[in-house]
Amino acid sequence: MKRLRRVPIVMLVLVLALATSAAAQTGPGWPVYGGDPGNTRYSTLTQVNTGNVERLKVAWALQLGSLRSQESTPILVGDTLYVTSSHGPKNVFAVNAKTGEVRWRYSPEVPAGIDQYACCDVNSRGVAHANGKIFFGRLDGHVVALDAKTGKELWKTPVIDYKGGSVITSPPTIAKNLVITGFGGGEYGVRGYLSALDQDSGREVWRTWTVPGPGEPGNDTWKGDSWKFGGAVAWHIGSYDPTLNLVYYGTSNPAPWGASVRGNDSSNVGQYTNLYSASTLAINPDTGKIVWHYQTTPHDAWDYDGVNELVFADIDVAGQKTPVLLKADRNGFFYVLDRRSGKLISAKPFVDLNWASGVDMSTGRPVEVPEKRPRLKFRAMNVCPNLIGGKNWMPMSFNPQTGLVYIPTMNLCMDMEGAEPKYTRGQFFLGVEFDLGKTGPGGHLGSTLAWDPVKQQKVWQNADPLPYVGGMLSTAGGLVFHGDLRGWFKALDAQNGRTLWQFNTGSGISAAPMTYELDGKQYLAVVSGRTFSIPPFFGPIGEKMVAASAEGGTLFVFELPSR
Amino acid sequence: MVQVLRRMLAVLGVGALGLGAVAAPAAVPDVLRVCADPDNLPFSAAAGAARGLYVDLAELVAARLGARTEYAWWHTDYGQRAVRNTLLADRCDVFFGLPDDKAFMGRQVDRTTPFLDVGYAVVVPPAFAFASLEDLKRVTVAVQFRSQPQLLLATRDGFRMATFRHVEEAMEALGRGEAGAAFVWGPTAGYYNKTRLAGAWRVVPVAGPGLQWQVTAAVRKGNTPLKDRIERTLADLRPDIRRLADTYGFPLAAPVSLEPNAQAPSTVVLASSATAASASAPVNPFQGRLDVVPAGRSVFNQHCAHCHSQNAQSPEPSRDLRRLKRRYGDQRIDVYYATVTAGRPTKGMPPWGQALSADEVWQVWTFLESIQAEP
Repeated sequence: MKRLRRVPIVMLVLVLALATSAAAQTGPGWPVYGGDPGNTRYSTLTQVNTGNVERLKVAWALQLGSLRSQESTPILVGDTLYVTSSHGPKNVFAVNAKTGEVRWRYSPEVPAGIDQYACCDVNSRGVAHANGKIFFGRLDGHVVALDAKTGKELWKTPVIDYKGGSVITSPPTIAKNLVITGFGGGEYGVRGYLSALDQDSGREVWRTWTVPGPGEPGNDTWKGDSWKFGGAVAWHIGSYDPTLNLVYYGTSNPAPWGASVRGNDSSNVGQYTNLYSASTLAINPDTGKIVWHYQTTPHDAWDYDGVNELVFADIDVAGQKTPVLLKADRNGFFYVLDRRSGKLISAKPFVDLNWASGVDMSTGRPVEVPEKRPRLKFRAMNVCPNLIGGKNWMPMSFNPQTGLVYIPTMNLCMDMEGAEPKYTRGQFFLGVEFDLGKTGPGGHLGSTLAWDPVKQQKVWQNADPLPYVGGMLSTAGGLVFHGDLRGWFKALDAQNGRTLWQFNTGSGISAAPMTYELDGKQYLAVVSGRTFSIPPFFGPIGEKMVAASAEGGTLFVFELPSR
Repeated sequence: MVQVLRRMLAVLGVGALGLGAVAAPAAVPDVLRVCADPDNLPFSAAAGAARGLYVDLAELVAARLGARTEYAWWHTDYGQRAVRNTLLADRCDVFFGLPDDKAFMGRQVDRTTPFLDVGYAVVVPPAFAFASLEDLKRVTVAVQFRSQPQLLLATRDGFRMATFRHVEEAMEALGRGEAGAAFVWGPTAGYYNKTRLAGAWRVVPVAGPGLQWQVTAAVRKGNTPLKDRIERTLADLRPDIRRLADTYGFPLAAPVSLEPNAQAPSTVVLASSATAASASAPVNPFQGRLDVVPAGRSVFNQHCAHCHSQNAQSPEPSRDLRRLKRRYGDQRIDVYYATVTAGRPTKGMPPWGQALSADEVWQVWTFLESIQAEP
């Protein structure tokens, strides 16, 4: 006691505050899309566990009011759950998290024909929250702030013109007084940027180009004036480390498809790496400046977007606890980077890939297999993974208890290049031709993979005969939750992948689940609604995807019924 | 016996022919449903004075077939998706303006023989001597992002490019002196040059790999009777197609070959005769006449309220006509007129062009104008 008294009050408060904030990150709440600002999608809740999960039952369900391609993860603020539907979003809901009773619904005017502009369907992955406000991006290129209590629109800021094929589909990242967003549509003639808006006014505080302009370092990585429409858009979720004061985003492929416009169109990339496409960026939110970058696929020709979410972990590196970023890249490599410096710690294939033989640890660059690089007038055959990637946007989860990452993987290969006639707006041209419908080694099309990021090896894997396994959630209850294309929502044993419980939601699940606790009860929530515009890319495999389940749009919430 | 049999066969044959003759018109019902981009001149437009070559042509074809037209409008920023969502989804019967190449959705559509040559063109000041690609090394060349010319120049040494997103922007750069030539899509350049720039530039068609294309009309795979009838009609309409191409400023000269020893493909030599093909923009004769509002409301409540609610107070946003201004801005009168007269069959809106008189259509419009919510 005496010793305690000597501890300054300020210190005590500080320790308490830290403890609370740490608890809020992984505790009973789910305040942000990825569960915490580091996108771990891990919950410390244990009420639902390996011993009782088979008793899970539907507590309530919410019809989202739109069909197809639901990608939203709800967030919890107080006892209110906030969730979006696809198509605009057509609806943003605030619902009583215990009962599903709707508190308010916001239904914006969605421009007619918006689905004619969105490259990859009319998605919305959800909302963000800060200081009593709900923030989200819309397909029409606006970021909107709503009063969290009433749903009243507070401000609406245009970030990008959707008529150029750029839409916003992911929730913004909250950092300090800012709302930070990117947008999608990298192939269609846009130069990527991140835009930081003031939470109170919606005014743009800074804008950071993800393709350097003339005079900026990196501009000479683009041939001619190709930087002007270089793509490299940040369309997926960002991460934020308040301790390091860094915001992290992945960027998409460069544009246009013809790499010869951007550089050497060869495995001998030379100076034309096309920064900062297919990269991980660390940005200081105070200034918007890029502090460091790491490019996963220099001078990309495969459409290996680098947008996949950056997941925080603190793991042993050479005997030292190190803050790292985990990224399961579209290009098939699992990257571990020091999140302070961007230094590459490891890069190992987490799926079967053949476009590179490995990553050179001294340069950080992939060692390409030249005949697997599509080039002008050169068709690369059986390239793995295909352009959907070893993993697409569906989020993974890192569980610090098991030390494992749970990854929804794809197992598809492609033939790419060769000129194919195309047209847009009355104009004919020769576009890239690809055959994506090639099954990868082993015959499965997707899987749930448990990966050890320290040993850089597979621990277990559940193969799936269909692609598009849904996003992941892991809990301290020893469980991994995810959905699949047939609409099954499953609970797996985190140790070995065994299915302990499953429920059919009636429509394919791509969205990642979340969990929360209210009044001593743990709930699990997942949004169901099959992907709609991806299957047409896949030929006969696409037909199987469509046959797997009908379109839908429902939030399901589960609980353990009281005995 | 044999003779009888022959006679019977002959009769059967005639019968079969007769059936064929009956079946053929069924391939072209009263309505020819046409897919087109709503905002893409010189090719097509849903509203405005100029409706574009494909729309004018569709009207001519339909008139020859004794059908009236209905349009399924769809933006073609994603060409294949547009075809999937319109023609292949049975929202229309014919898509004018697909490339004559089986590699483009050949398994899903059947094409007519080509009816028009289109391609890329080099745009230069009248005094600029342009005879070969080499000549373009003297200047900065404006090109369009993700286009054949961009790829062509990027893969050869000695060219300076300035890249733009749209053809119009490339031509404006030419006007500002930022580029000495533009190498862009010919029809768009020709139309812009003719309608906006008073023919200030010379638009020279060029030939080379991937630079010259032929245009077809496409139907769903297997709809051969319709394809055949449209094909025959297009052949009959060749002079009209030439006239339309000229009207819209398509560059019609023989292309300059960019491959030194290659032969230029034969081209349709298009006669030049500038007959303006213009449908006039819809104009409300009751503009500003508040006294017409009650009559408009009455017509509305008799014919439209069934789906759009009494007094147009629909609680369902997609059918709420108080949102026309918010949704379509200054184009709302064009959208209204096109939707009411031609209908929007895929959304359940029937055409009212026959059922309502022109006055009634404009009375309803005057009523709707009086209740628009502010954007």
